[in-house]
Amino acid sequence: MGEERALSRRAFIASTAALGAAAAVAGTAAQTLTAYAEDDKKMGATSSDATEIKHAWCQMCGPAKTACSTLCHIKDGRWVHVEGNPEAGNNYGRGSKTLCAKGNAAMQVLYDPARLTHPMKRVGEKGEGKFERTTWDEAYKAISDKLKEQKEKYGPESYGVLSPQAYQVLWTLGRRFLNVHGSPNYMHSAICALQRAASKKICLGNADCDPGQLDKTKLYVIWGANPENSAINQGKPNARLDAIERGTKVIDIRPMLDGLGAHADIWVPIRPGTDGALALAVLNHIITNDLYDHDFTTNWCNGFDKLAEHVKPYTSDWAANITGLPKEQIEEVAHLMGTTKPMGILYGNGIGDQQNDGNWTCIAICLIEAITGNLDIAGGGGAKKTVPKPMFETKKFDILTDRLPKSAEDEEKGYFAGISKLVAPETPRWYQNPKTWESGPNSAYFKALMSILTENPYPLRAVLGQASNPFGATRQPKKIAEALKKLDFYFVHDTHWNTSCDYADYVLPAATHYECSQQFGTKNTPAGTFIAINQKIAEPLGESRSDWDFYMGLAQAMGYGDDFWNGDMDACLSEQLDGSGFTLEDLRAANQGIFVARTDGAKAEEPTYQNYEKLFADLPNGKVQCYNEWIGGKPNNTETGALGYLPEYVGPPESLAGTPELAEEYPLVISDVHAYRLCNHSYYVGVPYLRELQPYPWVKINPATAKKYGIEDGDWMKVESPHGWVKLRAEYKEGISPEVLMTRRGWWQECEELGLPAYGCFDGGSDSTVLYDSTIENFDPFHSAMSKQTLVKISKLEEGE
Amino acid sequence: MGKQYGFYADTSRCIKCWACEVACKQWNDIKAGTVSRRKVHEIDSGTFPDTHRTFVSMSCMHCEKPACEKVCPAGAISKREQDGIVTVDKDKCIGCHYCFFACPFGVPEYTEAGMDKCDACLGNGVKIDEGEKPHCVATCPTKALHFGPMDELREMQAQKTAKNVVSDSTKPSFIAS
Amino acid sequence: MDMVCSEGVSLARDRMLTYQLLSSLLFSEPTVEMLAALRSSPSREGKLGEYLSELPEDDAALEPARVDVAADFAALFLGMSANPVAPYESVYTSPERLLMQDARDEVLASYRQNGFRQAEGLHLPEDHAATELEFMAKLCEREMMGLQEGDAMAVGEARAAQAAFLKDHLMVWMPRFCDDVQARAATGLYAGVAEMLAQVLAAEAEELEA
Repeated sequence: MGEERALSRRAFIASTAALGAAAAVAGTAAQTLTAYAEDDKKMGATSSDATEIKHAWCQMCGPAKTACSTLCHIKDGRWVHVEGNPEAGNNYGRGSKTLCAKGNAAMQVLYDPARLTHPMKRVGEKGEGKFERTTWDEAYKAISDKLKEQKEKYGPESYGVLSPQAYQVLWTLGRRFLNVHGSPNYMHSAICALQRAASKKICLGNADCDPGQLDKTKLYVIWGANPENSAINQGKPNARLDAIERGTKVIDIRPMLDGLGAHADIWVPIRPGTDGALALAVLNHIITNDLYDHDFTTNWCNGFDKLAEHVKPYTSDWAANITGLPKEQIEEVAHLMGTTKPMGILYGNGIGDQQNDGNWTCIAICLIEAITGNLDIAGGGGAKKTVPKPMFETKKFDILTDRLPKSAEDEEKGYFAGISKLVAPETPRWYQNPKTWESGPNSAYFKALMSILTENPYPLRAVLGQASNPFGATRQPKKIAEALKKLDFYFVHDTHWNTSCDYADYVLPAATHYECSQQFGTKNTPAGTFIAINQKIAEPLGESRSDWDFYMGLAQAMGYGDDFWNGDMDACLSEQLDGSGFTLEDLRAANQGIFVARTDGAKAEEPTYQNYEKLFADLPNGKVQCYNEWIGGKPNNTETGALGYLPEYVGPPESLAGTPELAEEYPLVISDVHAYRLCNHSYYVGVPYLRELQPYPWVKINPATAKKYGIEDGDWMKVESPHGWVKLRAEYKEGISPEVLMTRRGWWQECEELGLPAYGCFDGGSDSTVLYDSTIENFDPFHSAMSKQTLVKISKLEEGE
Repeated sequence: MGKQYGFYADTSRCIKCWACEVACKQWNDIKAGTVSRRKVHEIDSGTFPDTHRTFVSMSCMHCEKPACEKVCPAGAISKREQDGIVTVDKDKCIGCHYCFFACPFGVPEYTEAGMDKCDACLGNGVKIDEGEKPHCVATCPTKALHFGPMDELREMQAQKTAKNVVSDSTKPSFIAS
Repeated sequence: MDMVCSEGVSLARDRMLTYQLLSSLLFSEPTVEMLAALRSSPSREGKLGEYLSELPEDDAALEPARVDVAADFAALFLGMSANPVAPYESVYTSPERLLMQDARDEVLASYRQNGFRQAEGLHLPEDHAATELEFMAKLCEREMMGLQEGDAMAVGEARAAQAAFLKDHLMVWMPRFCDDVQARAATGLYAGVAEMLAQVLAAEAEELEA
C-alpha cells in the first residue's frame, strides 16, 4: 500500500515537474530570494527584542491629518502598539495620552491584508473590474498624455479632482497642481463644513456662534452636531463635560440620543431635516416675547425690522407640526435661548451641510445667537482667549493662486480667475473670491460628476479620485456609475480597492502616511509650541507611493517640474521649514516630536469683547445680515434664479409634513450619521477592532415601531424610499423617535478576519446613499448642500430578498 | 496587604466612545472577535422621549475577596499582596470554567491559552505601583475612567454623586459615579 | 548505488521544478511565452490540465488568455477586487489576520539560517507564498546537488530543513489559502494552480515523513 502510494506520488510529481521544466524554458522563474553573503549570515531572531518608539500623526480621521500626535511602539520592526503623545498637547493639553477607538486601532490599517501593491491598468470594460499590472512610468505617461491631450482639445478645466474630507494633500499640492494646470475644478463634497462656513460668513461675517470660553457659558445649545463621533480626541467633548460639571446647561437638538447627548439637560428629538423650522420658531418666540437685545439689534443688525415682520407666521404651532416636537418643548427651548446669557450654539453637519435648506437653517441659527446679544461676549459665541504667539513659525504652502488663468469672461463679469470655467460652482460664481473661499474656486462633487452626463455647461473629461470613493461620498451610486462609465478618463490613487476602481482607467497604489515622512504639523498652546513630522514606520508596501509623491510624479510627467521642486518633496518641506529653526533632519530624528516651552511668560489672555466693527467689516453695511443683502437678489449657484433675503424653511424633498400623501405609503423618516467614531466615513470599515464593534449595517429603530412591524432586535429589514432600497439590521433604541430611523452610510469593505462581508452600494445593498433624492434643482441654491433625509417604508426582510 | 487598587468609572463623563475597549485589545495583543477584557456597558431607562442612557466601562473588579481565586482547582488565580490585583497564570489554568461560574460579574473569558481577564496591564509592562495607569485609563478622551488605590478613588468619587453600580460579597474594587 | 542515487536525484529535481513552477505562477502573471510553454508540456492533470487543454493552439491567439489570467491574478493577489486573497502566511496565521506578523519573522529567520534573503528591491513581506515556495525549491536543489556530489550531510540537512519548513509553515496555512483561491479564481489557471498546490503539499507531507 505504501509502495503504491509512493509510486503514484512519484508519478504525480513527475507530471508537475514536467510542467515546471516547460515553464523554466520560458525563463520566468520567480526571483524572490537571493543568496546571503557568507559574512551576512545571521542565526536566530531577526532583530533585537528592544522596542523602538516613533512619532506619527494619526490618520484615522482621514489621511494627511495632523490633529492627534501619536507614539508608535515598534517591536522587531513591526508596529505593535500606539498611544497619544503626551508631549504634543492633544485633547486637553500636555500630558494627555488619550486617543479615540480609531486611533487605538491604527496599526491594523498599515497591515491591512488587502492593500493595493502595484499600479493597475484596465483591460476590460468599465465596470467589469478587469485590470492588469503595469508600471508607474507607464501609468504616468498614459495619464499625462491624456491630460495634455484633453487640455489642448477641451481646455484645462476639463480635469477635475474629487475632494475627500478635509485633506491637506489636496489643499496644498493638489490645489497647486490645479492652478498650474489651469483648472478651477476642485470638486468639494458639498456635504461638509464649507457649507456652514459660507452661511455663517454671509450672516455674521467673522463672528462665531460656538463659545470660545465654554467655562463662562451658561447655556450651550448643540444643534445637529456630534463631536462624540467626529472629533472625540480634539478637545470638545472633554471641554463640554468640564463645563457641565461647572454648571453649564446643555440643550442637545438631534434626532438620536447619542453619547454626549446622554449628558444634556434637555434632549430635543427633532425630525431630521426640519431644523430650519425650529430655528424660525425660536426667532419668532424671541422677537414676539421681546427677549432680544435691543442695543444689538438697533446698532448692529441690518434689516432687523424686516426679519421681525418676516418671522411672524413661524409660530411654535407651525413648527410643532413640521418638527414632530411638542409645542411646549419648542417654547421651552426658545425661551431658554432668549433668556439665558451667555449662550452659545454649536451647530453641525447634519443641519448645515446636508439639508437642502441648510443655508437658511444655519443663518436662522446664527441670527438667534446674534439678536440675543450673545456674539463676542465672554461665554457667548466666539471670544476665545488670545493664545500667545507660537515660539516659531513655519511658512505657509504656496498654492500659486495667481497661476490660474483669468479668462475674458472672468474679466467681463468681474469674477476672480477661473470662476467662469467652474463646471458646477458650489457657491455662486459671483460669491467665490479669496475672502470667501477655503483654498480656491470650488465645484460641487455630485453636480460636477453629473455634468459628464448632461454635458451642461460642459462635461468633465478626466477626474482623479485620490482617497475618495464616489460610491460612498455622495448620492445615488447608480447615477455615479453612469457618469463614470461615460467619463473619458478616471484615475484612482488609494491604499485599498474601493467600489469606484471598477470604473477607473488606472488604479495606483497609495502608501499610508505611516510609510512616508512627508507631513509635519504644529500645535501651539499657552504652554509652548510643538512640531513633529511623521516618521517612517515601514517602507511603502510593494510599489505603493505616498499621496505627496503621487502628485510630484504626476507634475513631473506633465512637465510642471519647475513648479513642483522637480519632484523633490523634501525640498518642498524644507522650504516650509525655512526660518523655523528646524531642519527636516531635526524633525525626522525626533521620536516624540519637538516641544518648545514658552519662555516669554506670555499667557492666554481674555480678549477684548464685542469687536463688532472688526467682526462685521466684510458684511454689507458692516452689520449682521438679518435681511441678507450679501446674497439677496443675486443669482443662485445654478444661475436659474435669485437668492432670497430672509430665511425660509423648505424642508426635505420628502417629509411627513411637507409631502403628506407620500407619507401615507412611506410613513417613517430616515437619515444617517455623517461621521462615526468607529470609521472614517465609508473607510476603515474593514479594520478588525473597529468592525467588531459595528459588525452589521445597522439602523437604529424605536422598539415600539419595530414591534409594530414584527421586527425583533437584530432582525434584518428592508428599508425603501421613493428612490431606492437597502437591507439593514435593526438595533432597538429607545433614544429615537418612533417616527425616525438613523443609519450609517458606506459598508463596501469586508472584514475577513471576523468573517464579515462587504455590503453593496447599489439598490438592495446596504448603503443609505441610494435612498435620498438627488435632483439638482432641489439642492441648496446657495451652497449646493443635498438633502440627507427622506421618507421610507419598512418590513422584515424575507428569504431571498 | 498593601493598598487595594481598582477602577472608578465616572458615568457622568463616559460617552461610550469605545476607546478603552480598543486600547485594551491592542496593548494586550488580543485578537479581534475573541475576548473583551473591558466592555462599555449601557444601562437604559424610560421610554421615548423620557429616556436615559448611562454608560459604564467595566472589567475585572479585582475583588477584595475574589470568588474566582477561591474556587480555582489548579491554583492558577492569585491576588497580589502589594496592590490587590487579581491575576491568572495561563500556564496553570486547565480551562475548567469554575471561575466563570463563581464570579458574580461574569468576568472570566476563555481563549486557547486559558482564562483571560483584565490584569490592570501588568502583563504588558505598566508599572501600576509607580503610578502608571492601565492603558484604558490613559486613553480615555473624557477622563471618565480612573485607576488607583481605592481610598484615593473614593475621594475623587466624593466630589460626584456616587452610584452603586455593582456590589457583592466578593467586595469588588470598583466604584462609579 | 547509482540507480538509487539517480532516482533520488531525479526526484529531488522534480520536486525542485514543481516548487519553482508554483512559486512563479503565484509570484507574477504568466507571459504569452509561459502559457505557450505550459501548453506544450504533455501534462494534463486536474483543473490546470483542463485549462491548458482549452488554450488555443496558435501562439498568436494566446493574448486574450494572457489578459484574462493577468486580470484574475490582479483580482486575486494584487487587491484589485472586493474580496482578494492575501497570499501571505501572516494573514492566515496571525491573531490579527494582518501582514507582517510572527510568521513573517519566523520565515525570515529560516531563510537566513539557510543562507537566503529577499531579493533587492522587492518590498513585499517575506512570507509571500511565492517566496516560501521558492525557498522550498532552493532546498530541493541543495538536496539534489548533495546527492549528485555524494554529500550525505548536505542531503540530510536539506531534507531536515524542508521537513521543518513544510510542517511549521506551508502546511499550517497553504491548504486554506488554496481553498480560498479555488473559491474565488475566475480562470481555470488559478483554480488549477491552487488545486495543484494543495495536492503537492499533501504529497510532500507523505514524502517528507517517509
